[in-house]
Parts: sequence; C-alpha cells; structure tokens
Amino acid sequence: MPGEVLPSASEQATYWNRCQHNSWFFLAWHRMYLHIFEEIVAAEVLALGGPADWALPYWNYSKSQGERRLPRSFSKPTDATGATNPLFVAQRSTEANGGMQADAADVDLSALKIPNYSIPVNNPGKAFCGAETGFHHSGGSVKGIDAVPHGNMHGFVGGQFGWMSAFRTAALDPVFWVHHANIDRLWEVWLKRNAAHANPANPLWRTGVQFAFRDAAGTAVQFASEDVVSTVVLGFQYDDVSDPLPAGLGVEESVAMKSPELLGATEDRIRIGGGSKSASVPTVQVAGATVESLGGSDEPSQVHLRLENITSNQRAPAFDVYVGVNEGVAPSAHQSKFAGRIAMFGLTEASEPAGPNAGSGLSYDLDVTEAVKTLRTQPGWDPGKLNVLFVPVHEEQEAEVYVGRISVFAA
Amino acid sequence: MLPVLQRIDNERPEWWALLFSAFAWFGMALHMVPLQVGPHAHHPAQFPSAMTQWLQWQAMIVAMMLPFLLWQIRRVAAGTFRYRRHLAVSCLIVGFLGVWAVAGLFAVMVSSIWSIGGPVAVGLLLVASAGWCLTPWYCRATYAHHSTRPLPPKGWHAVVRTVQEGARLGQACIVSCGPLMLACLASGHSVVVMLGGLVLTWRERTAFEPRPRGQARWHLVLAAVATVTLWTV
Repeated sequence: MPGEVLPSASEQATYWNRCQHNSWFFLAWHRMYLHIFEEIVAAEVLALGGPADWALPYWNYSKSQGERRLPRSFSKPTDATGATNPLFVAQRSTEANGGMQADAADVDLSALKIPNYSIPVNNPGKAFCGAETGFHHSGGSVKGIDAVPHGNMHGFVGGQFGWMSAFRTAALDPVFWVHHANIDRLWEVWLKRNAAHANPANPLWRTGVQFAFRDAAGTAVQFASEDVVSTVVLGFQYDDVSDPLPAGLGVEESVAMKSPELLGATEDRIRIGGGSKSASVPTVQVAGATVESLGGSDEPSQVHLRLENITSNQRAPAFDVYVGVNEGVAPSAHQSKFAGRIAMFGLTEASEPAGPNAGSGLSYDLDVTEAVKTLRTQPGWDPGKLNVLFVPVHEEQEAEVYVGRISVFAA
Repeated sequence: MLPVLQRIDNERPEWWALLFSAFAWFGMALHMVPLQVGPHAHHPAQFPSAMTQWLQWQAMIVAMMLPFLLWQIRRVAAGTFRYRRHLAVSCLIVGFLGVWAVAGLFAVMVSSIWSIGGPVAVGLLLVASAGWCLTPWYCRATYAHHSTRPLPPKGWHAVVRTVQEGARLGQACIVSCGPLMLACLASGHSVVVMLGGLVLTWRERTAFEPRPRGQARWHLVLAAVATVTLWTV
C-alpha cells in the first residue's frame, strides 16, 4: 500500500521469498503457510465476534464440472447489498472472473496415482510432490501435484497477468488460500488412498531445513516438515479425503526412471508463444533403446519429454504440449497425442539472472509413452524425429518464451 | 567391463571425478610442504617455488572443489548420449579447473611477490573471507552454483558449450570461495585450514541458499582456529 512502512531488510531476508516450489518441500512449506495464515485470520474472526472454530475452506475444483468455475463468492464484484466484495479481485483472468470453467487438463488428479513422494534431482521420472532439493524457492523441475492442478489453477485464475500467476502477488488474491487449502487436502488424499503412499523418511526432508514465520501474536516461529506432517497435531482435519479417482484409474504408475537414456535433444533453444510453435527433436538409437522399440518385449517401457530451461522476462500463458502434431494442424483433433499442459507460474522469477536459481528457468517432464505408442501405429511415423507442438492457452498478449532444450528420454 | 562396474558407471558417471579428488587429498597429505612460520621456527618463512605452489593450488582445488561439482557432473552426464558421457564430464571439469588454474596463477603470483604466509596472514585472509560472505556478489555466486544452462547433446557445439558451462560454474566458485582458497594457499595448504574450508563450503553448498551471516561467523571461527593452530604447530 502507498505509504506503508515495509519491514526491515533483515526481516525481509528472513521471511520474504521463502515459499518452496519445484521441490519436495512444496507441500510442507505451504501447509506451514496455511496454518499460520489460518491462525492469524481465526484470531481476527474471533476478535470480531465470529465463531471460535473458524477454519479455511478449500476449493475442490476437481469434484465436478460445475466446481471448476471460480466460486461466486470470489467472482462477484459486489455482494447482495451492493457493497464491494472483498474476495473479488480484478487482477484475474477474464475467463475466471467471467464464470468460465477451468479445463479438465487444469484440474487433472493423475498426480494422486504416483506412488513416490519425491525423486532425485535430474531424474526425468515422476514424483507426487517434487525433486529432493535443499531449500528451493523457484526454478527447477515442476512435477506431480505442484504442476497439476497447482500450477495450472494458478494460471487459470491469474491468466497471463493476474496476481495468481506470479509468486510475489499470488497470495494477494483470496483465491490463493482456498486453492492451496485444496492442494493441502490432496496431500492427505494421496496418503490415505494407498497404504504404500508415505512421506519421505529422509532426515533432510523431515528436519533438515527450518522455515521461519511469524504467528498470530507476531512471535517468530520455525517449522520443519516433520512438524506439519500431521494435520491432527496442527488442530484440523479435512472433511473429505475420499479417493476422487474413478474405479480403475487407481492403478499405480511407474515412478523414477531407472538409468534414463537420452534418445535425442534439440541443439538450440526454441522460441514459443505468439501462437502455436513446433520443434523437431531428432531421436537416435542408443544401446538398443529407440522410440521405435517402445512397447515391445524389450525396454524401454517409458518415454519422457523433458522441457528444460524455460525462460522469459515476460509473463506468459500456459502451453498445451503435443507430440507428433505439426504447426497449423488443429490440435483438438489429436487428443491422443496430448502430452500435457505446462503452467508458466513463477516463470519470470525463475528467469531472473540475479534470482535464486540464477536464471535457469523452469523445467517440465512429461510422460509421452502412450502418445508415442499411438504415433507408432499411424502412417508416416518417423522414428528418427519427434515433433513437439506448443499451443498457448488463452494468450492475452504475445509472449516471448524460450525453451532451452527439448529432450526425449527412455527407460 | 564387469556388470557391477558397468552399473556404477551408468548410475554414477561422476565416480572418476570423486576418485580424482580423493587422489588429490592423498597427494596433498603426502607432499604437503609445511611452512616454518610459527614462533618456534628457526628460519624466516620458507616458500616453495611458484610452479610448485601453483601445482599444489590446482591439487587443492581438485581436492576441495571438485566434490561440489558432482551434482552438475551428474546432470551433464545424464543430458547426453551414453557413448559420450565421459567426454561431456571431462569437458565440464576442464572448463571448471581451467578458470581455477588462471585464478591460481594470480594467487601464486601475489602470494610470492608479497610473501603472504603465516598464522597472522591466514587469520586476516579468513577474516576478509568472512566479510566477503556479506557482499551481494557472494550471494549471487552461491545461487549460481546450482544453476543450469541448456547444452547441446552432441557434436563440437556440445564440447565447446560444456567447457563454457564448466568455466561459468568455476567462475561462480571462485567468486564465492576464492578468498577462502587464498587463505588455504597462505597456510601452506595446512590440512586443518583445508578441512575447515571444506566443511564451510559443504555447509554453503548443501544449504542451496546463501546464509551470509552464519557463513561469516563460521569463517571467523575458522580464522581463530587456524591462527592458533598454525601458531602452535
């Protein structure tokens, strides 16, 4: 706010820009943040004569098509009396505030099927939460629930330029809290839906990194992941942790790629944005592993597309990624070749040369095993190259985004 | 190659860099030239030749700094075709050690011209290193250690850009750890100072974020320990 006195530099260094993304600390840190925020708001609610058991609600956008719309309590500029609605924020996408539904790709819960919570850094395989990093504010590889629905819903609500689409402003939008409460709930859902699902036992995750906050009384407090693994200890329980995946979709998927083998990669960076853009990744045969041998009796059983060092100094929309589809072709007719939607949440922060990851940008790993299997059955299939198409989603203004390298890995 | 070795080579392509570092530690311990600098010294400080100092500097860098490049080595190896993994790793290490070698020439030159050595000089250099930790350049370099740049998968482009990537990481390493390494040089590559420096660097790199004040405090502790140790030995 204009004229507001900001905290000292020391306070800023201790408490600002601490959020964890693209890391196995993503869920734990955000639970700490929600817990402290809930405590602060609950104290205020009580002081104003509200209920003593007030708790943060969650927005369960994956429950049904209707739930994919931004709740009206957030999208209406005024309430029934004509007073300004404090939950309304103009700095959102026109689609979200206009009552449009998020796409199925935004609220997909496939991450719940991933059995491993984390994965070693650099492994192009899957993880429910993220890579096994140290303190990790931005940049790096976006995986599992951090990507979808988390990143995609940030993008749906914030659009290209709204508050929800950037780290530094996301929490200014009240939707942030109900969105993250749902992500936090999905952590509980994941733990409950399969006895084999478990939080990391690694001491680095459990107690290795302490995160600083100030509680409702303004007292400095610190948490490690271990302090927040139990919601009961924190004083709350979710009313619905039932398995949201339809019967038959609960089969656990393969996880970390053992000895991932590079099959091909682009030589130079590719510019995307400003309409659909495609790139061709030359693939080769290495030690018997080829894209062509996929699905046969021999390895590989998985093919992953790695999009590395995605950078931009501009805010950008999400991109739908297809394999084997050329520029100029309507991608909607090729859903079987859809590799995934990649959100650009945190892109500019991750691209800052002086930022916490020195401008490395974002990376995504997409499982294209099924898409490649489909491609192999089609006429004109060329195992020597894999075409990758990037289609911007609701691009409000032409963005200049670069993908440093596109790689194809098999295992 | 035996299957077990092949598996190690596949899963841990950085193994030989680690071995290289272990040999360097071994060599440093065997051939360390203790400086006659303490109060019990019979002669003024005796310095080895500039060439010997430079070779010791490089051995020290291999011993102390190469282990902190392992994550990047794994990344580069995983990002290329299996048949050229070791070439890619070599290129990265050449770039990394190359910039340290140039820095070593300056360090040895300065050290020789002004005869920098002895407990007080080591202590002062570590105090200066503590002060350096509080600068924005240190923070920026600390972030750069974990940063990545896209590399081509094969061909001469890949060779050149991987060497450049190693040099970029080496530069960041020099900016964050250069003053500490100067202190190690001035100590005559004292094992106490080197091990202390190794622990401080490990602390910095595993945090994934700069912790300037804490790091500066530990540099001051090392300054005190190193000065007392070198004085009494």
